[in-house]
Amino acid sequence: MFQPLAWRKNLRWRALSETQRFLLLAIFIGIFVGLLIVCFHIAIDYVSWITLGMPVGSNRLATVFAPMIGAALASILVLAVFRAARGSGVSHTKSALYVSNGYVPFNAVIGKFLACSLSIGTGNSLGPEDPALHMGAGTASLLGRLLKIGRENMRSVASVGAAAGLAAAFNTPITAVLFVIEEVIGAWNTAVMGSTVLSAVSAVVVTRWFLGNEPLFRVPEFELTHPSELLIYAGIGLVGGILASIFVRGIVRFRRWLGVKPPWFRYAAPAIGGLLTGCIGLAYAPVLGAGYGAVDSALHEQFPWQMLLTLGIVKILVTWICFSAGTPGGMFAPTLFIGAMIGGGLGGLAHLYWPLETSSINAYVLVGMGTFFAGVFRAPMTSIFMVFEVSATYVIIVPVMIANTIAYLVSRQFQPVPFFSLIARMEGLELPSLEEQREARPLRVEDAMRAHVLPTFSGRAPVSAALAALISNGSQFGMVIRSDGKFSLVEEEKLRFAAEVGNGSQEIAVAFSLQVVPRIYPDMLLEAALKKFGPHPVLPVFNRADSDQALGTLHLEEVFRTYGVSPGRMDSWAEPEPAKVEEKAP
Amino acid sequence: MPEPEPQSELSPDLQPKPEEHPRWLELPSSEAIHQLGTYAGLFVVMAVLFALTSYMASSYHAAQLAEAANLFAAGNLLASDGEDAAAIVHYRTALALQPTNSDYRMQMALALLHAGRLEESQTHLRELLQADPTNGLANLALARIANQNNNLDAANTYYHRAIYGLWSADGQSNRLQARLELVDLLVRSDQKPQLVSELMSLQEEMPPDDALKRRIAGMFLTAGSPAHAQELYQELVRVERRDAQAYAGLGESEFQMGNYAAAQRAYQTALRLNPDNEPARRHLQISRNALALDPQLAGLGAGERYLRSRRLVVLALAQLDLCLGGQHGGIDPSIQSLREAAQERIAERMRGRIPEETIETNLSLAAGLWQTRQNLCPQAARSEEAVALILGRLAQSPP
Repeated sequence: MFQPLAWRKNLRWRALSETQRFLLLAIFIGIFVGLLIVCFHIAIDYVSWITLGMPVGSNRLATVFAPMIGAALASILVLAVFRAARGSGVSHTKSALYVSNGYVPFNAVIGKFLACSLSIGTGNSLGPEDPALHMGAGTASLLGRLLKIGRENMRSVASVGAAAGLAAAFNTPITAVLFVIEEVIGAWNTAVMGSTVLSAVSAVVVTRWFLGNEPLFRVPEFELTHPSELLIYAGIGLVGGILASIFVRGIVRFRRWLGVKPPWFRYAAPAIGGLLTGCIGLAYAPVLGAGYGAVDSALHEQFPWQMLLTLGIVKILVTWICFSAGTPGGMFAPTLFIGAMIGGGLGGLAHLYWPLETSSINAYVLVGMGTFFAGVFRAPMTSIFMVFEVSATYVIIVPVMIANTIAYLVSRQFQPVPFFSLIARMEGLELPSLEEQREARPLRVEDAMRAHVLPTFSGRAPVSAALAALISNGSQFGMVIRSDGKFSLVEEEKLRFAAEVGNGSQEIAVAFSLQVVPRIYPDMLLEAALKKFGPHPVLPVFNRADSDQALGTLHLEEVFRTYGVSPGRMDSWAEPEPAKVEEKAP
Repeated sequence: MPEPEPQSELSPDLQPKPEEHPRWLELPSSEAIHQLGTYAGLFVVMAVLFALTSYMASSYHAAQLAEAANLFAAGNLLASDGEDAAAIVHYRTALALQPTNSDYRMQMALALLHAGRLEESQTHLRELLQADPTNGLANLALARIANQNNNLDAANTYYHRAIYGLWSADGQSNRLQARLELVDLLVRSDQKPQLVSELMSLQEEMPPDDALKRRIAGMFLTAGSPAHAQELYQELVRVERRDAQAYAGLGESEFQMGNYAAAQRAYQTALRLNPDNEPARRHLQISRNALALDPQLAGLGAGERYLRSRRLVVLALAQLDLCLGGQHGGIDPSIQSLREAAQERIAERMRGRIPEETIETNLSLAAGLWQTRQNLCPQAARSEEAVALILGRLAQSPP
């Protein structure tokens, strides 16, 4: 019979599950952050037009004093009004993830918005991406609190917002997701990954809705001319890596030097930095502000190689000054600028002196852009995808991979502690280094297993025969194949007891209740294998290619020994003696 | 005994359960209501923020557009005053505000080209072509850059793209200009077959402009296509009977085609109109001499043709001897036998009716002597031009 309202049976007012709410929240976060970053972008541009005029550098008085006034006002805002807005956005987001259960105060968002609009808009050599990331994290945290999401999701909500902020600021969703995973979360967690992608994509859609579909840089057409050019790109990576480590060390020293100065000097430092930046900007206007326009000009071959190198070096100097002085703003844009100019400069030199044919300078500008970024932030994957995404060209991918990897490795060699870890420590936070986490070698079963293979019997074998086999093998345990083909363990002691008490001719399967023993493999993480021990003191290790072939055994005590815990210490924990109280857990 | 209850025809699954309410009538939980309220609130806030951002963004874009237009106008003024550097700064800033505006980019590229910053200009022009490969102006500008860089192949390609590309204004004159520049390039690079084909296209497309016609006719002569040149010069002299330059050109066309009588007439008219035309005077003299020597001139009697053929043998032998430098010993026997045959012919004096074979033999001999002379002394100084012309023609197509 036809039931007109039958379809409504499945409709019911129901509360969404936690996962559904988190995914929906990710979209909300993306939209809100997108709107915020559009306003932030507009605010920076308006401040720039009002203070520096058009074209930048045409009003000499404004060029000198605007950065100073902007830096001073921005510093007053973050030091006196919005104290939560101080410091690096990445550190704050990581802190929300690891320390404060996802809490990022919303006044940090307001503070970053106002302070960074002023400082970047007036020409201080800083970028809007790190503040955008911080604002994204703050907005996400607020929305998470409003929607009362669960504790576990709340912890990661800031990183979801951070991805949205970065994606909106850069107009690069893939880069933003990769950066957050590489630098903030440190793991490819499916749930967080899904929400991060959703928020980044929604933020970019909103940004493009209002600001257009154009990529960050318009890259002219070019082609790679000769394979020997890859050597030049490797050279650019080398120089980029060395300069990046010098740059990071310089910032740390500058900040430490500033840290021992009297308080008034620290308060005045941003203004002094702004004044110096303005004075330098008189001669080199392209270094003012984020510098995206100058990178675009370099991509269009506006500057000769000498000028490119000069701009790169000058930008290092002004960014040192502004960032170390504590002027609010981020480092992404300046690193792109510096890398682009140094890369372009070296490319120009190669154009003149390389014996074989070389590409046009814009290819080197593009490759160089990623090298300095990879060297400073030590996020190689992000740097590669960033260049790919901001340029919307695939031709460049091989040189970028070569140059960025070299820059990353060289920077690691000269500067062992990653930039964000250094900055976090200077801000009084001891956050986990994700680079160290990524590269820590995990312990595996093969590190603790013994090659000794346990004797194997059929479940129908008599107890006495099994006991005799164990005694002759000198093994304490034996493996029994059950009727269903699975393996079980029997202990010599229990076999002996069964032989003494009962009839030795009794079948093992009858004499014992045979529990299935879990299978472990040599490549398995030791941590995962440990969870499988259950009541068994030993587990057989099998071959993945032939699951009936045992390769050895894993003993519980060997596992502890591999983790550096001796059985004696385990006893001491069980019954602590007063004299051994000071011993700490590993 | 109680009567048993009649069994329902419906299966137990389909039988109504009177104690259960339909699920859709269930009231929402308080948690769900709270969630809904929060989401509704967020939607409202989002809508408000969206509206605010829209307002801000539209004001921002309007300001950007206005500022960019001002900067562009200022840049145009500076460019028209010849201040390219300042104009470029203005164009660049306008472009930073409106990076997709192709007019701004085009003007900037042209200003850069004018300022001699070829590579930078080229980058912007290529970007314009990325967006629109049919952009005629961008192709023409790139062709000029390639031309300046002596990259003739690239210039050739860009000129063609400019000719067949799209133009926002003055399409015909711009295409004509592009083709003329291409023709100049082809003249410079001595690519005659392509030059002739371009000139023929140009001839079809050209507007009624005598100066242009004269230029094209001159280029036809350069390209080694005197027939086309003659056609254009005849059109010119038909329209303007006192055009000395056109008559001189016509003379040159006829001269190159070997029509010495017509060339003589045209040169005479040209010199009457402009007596200072020294090249025309020189060519007139050559034409007269050639006419006096030419044994294949229409209307000549057999006697006259014989005399001319004999004279040509004399002149050709003299040229060969000049080439050999008076050293007759040790020369190639075939050359020696050729010389001896020539001397025999010269010594022979025929009277009465001259057989046609004798004339032909003389001409063949003269052609052979000239050919040998050319092979032995290709770099030798040019002899009297009329002799060279006639003997050259005979050597190329012997009777």
